[in-house]
Amino acid sequence: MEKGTMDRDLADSVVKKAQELGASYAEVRLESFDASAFLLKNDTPEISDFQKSNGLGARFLVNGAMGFMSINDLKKALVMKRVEETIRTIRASARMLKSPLKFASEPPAKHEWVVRQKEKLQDVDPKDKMEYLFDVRKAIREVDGTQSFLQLFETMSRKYYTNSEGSMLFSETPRIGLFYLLTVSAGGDSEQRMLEHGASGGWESVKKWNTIHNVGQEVRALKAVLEKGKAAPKGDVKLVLSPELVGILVHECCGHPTEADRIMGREAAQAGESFLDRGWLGKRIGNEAVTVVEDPTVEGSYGFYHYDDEGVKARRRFLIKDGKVNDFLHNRQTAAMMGIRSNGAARAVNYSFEPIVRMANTFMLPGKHSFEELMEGVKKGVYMKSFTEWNIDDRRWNQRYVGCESYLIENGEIKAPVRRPVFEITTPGFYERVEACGKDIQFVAGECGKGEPMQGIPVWMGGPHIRLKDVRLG
Amino acid sequence: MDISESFRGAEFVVDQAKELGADDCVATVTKSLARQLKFVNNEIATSKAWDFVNTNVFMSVGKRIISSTIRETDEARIREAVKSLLAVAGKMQPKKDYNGIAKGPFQYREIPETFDQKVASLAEGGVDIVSSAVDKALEKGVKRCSGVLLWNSSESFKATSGGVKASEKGTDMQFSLRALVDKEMSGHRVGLSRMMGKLDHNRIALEAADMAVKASRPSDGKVGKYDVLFHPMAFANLMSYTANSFSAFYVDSGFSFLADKIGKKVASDMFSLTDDGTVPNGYWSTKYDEEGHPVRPTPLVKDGVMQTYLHNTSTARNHKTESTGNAGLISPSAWNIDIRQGDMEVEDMISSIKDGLYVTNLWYTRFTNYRTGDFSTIPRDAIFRVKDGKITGNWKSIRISDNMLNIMRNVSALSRAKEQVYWWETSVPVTTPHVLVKGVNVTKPQ
Repeated sequence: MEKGTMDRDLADSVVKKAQELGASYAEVRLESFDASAFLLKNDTPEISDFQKSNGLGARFLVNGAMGFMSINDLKKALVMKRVEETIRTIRASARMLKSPLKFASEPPAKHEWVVRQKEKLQDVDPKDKMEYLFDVRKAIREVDGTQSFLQLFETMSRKYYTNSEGSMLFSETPRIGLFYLLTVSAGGDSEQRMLEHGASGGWESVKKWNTIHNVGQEVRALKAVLEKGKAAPKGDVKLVLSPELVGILVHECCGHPTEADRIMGREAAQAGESFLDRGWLGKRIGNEAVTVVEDPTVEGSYGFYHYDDEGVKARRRFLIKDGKVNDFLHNRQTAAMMGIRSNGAARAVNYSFEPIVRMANTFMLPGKHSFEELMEGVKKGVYMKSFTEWNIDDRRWNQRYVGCESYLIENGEIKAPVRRPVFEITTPGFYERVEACGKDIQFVAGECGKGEPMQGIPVWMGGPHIRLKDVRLG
Repeated sequence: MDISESFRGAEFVVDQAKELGADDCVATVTKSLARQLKFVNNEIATSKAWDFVNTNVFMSVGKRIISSTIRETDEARIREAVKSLLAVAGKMQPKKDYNGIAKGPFQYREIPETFDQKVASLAEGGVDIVSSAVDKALEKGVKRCSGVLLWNSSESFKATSGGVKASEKGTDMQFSLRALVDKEMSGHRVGLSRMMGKLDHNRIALEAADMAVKASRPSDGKVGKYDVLFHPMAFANLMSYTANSFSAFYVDSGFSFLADKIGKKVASDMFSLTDDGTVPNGYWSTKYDEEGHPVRPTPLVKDGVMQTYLHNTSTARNHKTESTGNAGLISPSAWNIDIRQGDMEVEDMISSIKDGLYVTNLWYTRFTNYRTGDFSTIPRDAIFRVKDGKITGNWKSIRISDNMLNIMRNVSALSRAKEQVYWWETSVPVTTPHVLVKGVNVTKPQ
């Protein structure tokens, strides 16, 4: 469904109908969402998948209660029937309300944007996309017996957003991603590694990832870990974390706990709550070297957008600033609950989901040190370059990250591989131990899970290399 | 022609695919209407409705596999869509180990208790269910209740080039309630049913609230090896991850700790696990799989010994066996996992624990290595400390860091009663008793 063929009148009619039925607020997202994927399992191409979908998602506020509907058969009579039923249910649910739900005020927005593709994804032959996976596989086979699962995936969203306050937004966002899972074996034992890259843009993004070179280095490194890896050193050591580790850490223990809907309890039974509350704002949580931002406006990023799915303009948010909790991620509802304006964090995967508070691109800001300077003076330490398993509790306090490619540091030099060092820490425990940040920055991608039903939304996470002190590894 | 008109649409797609050169084709038209009430802090936060019609098609030509959705509704455009998909498929490399789909037609056995008109027509009546359950929980002394009530009605029509022409309609309901006294005192329970009369929402609410109230003043746990009694909510979480490891696709991909284990001991003698898509009122019970092959009960572990992997027609031929009726056209998957119950009462199981824990829920289970089964997971909600057969307090902030084969091999007791669990953190329906596991490794953060 191209911009010109979108039935904007249908979206506008839904807003009008909802208002006639008593809605004090209505918003509609009319969207075509196409997704394709190519899979290569070891040397076998599995399936090429091409999904096409058009539909409408709408939210209404009636008597202070909120409802959401989504429909993909866009015959007007069917859509209007569903609007009527949705509003009836909202009215019924309003009787459980103790106070009416409110949205923070927001001026109407009118804007159109198209994410630029130097090489349009639709112009790249599917055969060439599968050939690219075979090239990655060839690099993986440098270590005999390595099993792999490779997935190249892309989406194209063309979306018209309108609401009863006069906002009208049109966007066209292509995204592409690559996921791989490697199993390297030696001596009857194995190690596994998974990674995802992602970007908003065209085929040119794939070339920037340099995967064919990097994956070859990774399988050789994992083989060395298997054959020569030693246990992590005992006692307190320095820990140097790569941008990949910093990315997952700030995503899990800064981005998630600062989601204001969690803080207000909205995800209590699913994605969980947060150890943070309003009392934490302005309070120290870590070393002043730590600043973590959330920024949807990074061009080419996997989490890129200009306006969120409530029509609020995107901007950079400083979640932790100089070691202090500084801001939360808000939609219009949580902003109203805290008496402020939204900072544009409402996102939905596509028209079939309600917009909720989400991250986009979460990263620690770089410092001043080169990688060599971070290593200097480390008598005994560990460098965790990549990780396998990780998890964190549902209040975002207790977490663990298991190193994959990791090395011993002795007297400032990288030495032998370390096998599966376990970094198990509390959130303030992590931020307090950061003593130096590198001047580099890198990102990896992910599909962050939240909501009911689960929405896996594209995000970037990253940061510089950093050094921690007084860490005990398992 | 309106493709949403059931068989005609599915058959037309298959006919066109065959005429245009496809070797295999599966077309499925699904109509569904799902509704959800999401409640937060004792109020309904959002009521939701999804009204969808989808036509999915799977085709192979010269072992080249493609899948897609078809949005077109008139015959000429459907034919064009199929033609262009086959043209794309023709450019791809063949999947050499692809071995076709099931050849029908088949006779299907109706599964009792899979459709209830009362569920299909519930509409705004769901508010009464949520309201009643929240009130029950609050009466027990909790401060906040959050969760979801989800109900769904669907109808699907399937045609395949293997001669299958089949249809099925079903309903399902899911109720999840987490009760909180404060941020660190909570209890969580879920209930599932295909039939309105079999979802006891008030019992779920009372049990969640009871757990929350008993989880008072938790203290930080201690590292060590403990005998752990897993509540069905917790053990179902572990088994939902294990369910994937039974899939032949996961085994062939290097993602399964059960690779090369058929005929071998993988669990304690008292441990038996079956996948059964035919169980009445089973949350994912169905007459046929994605190929239209009839579904059946499949013992996967019997008295501790691994029996088979889950197969579709293609993976079964590669493994020189028969389909277990678990297609997934690419990856076979489980329907309803069932753990054989034991003969103990939960109270007696607690009394038998000298130095252990009673874990009532798990969260964020992740594998360090899918092939070896090394994993960790985080107990949440009530974690009861058990010493000398008695509950002596509550813990928080711990992690179970162990190996899935160790867990299965160290099962030492199973309760008589069991229940079906499926929710946000348990992605396959699992019916399980309480399970006692000896010597589970517990860690905590620095």
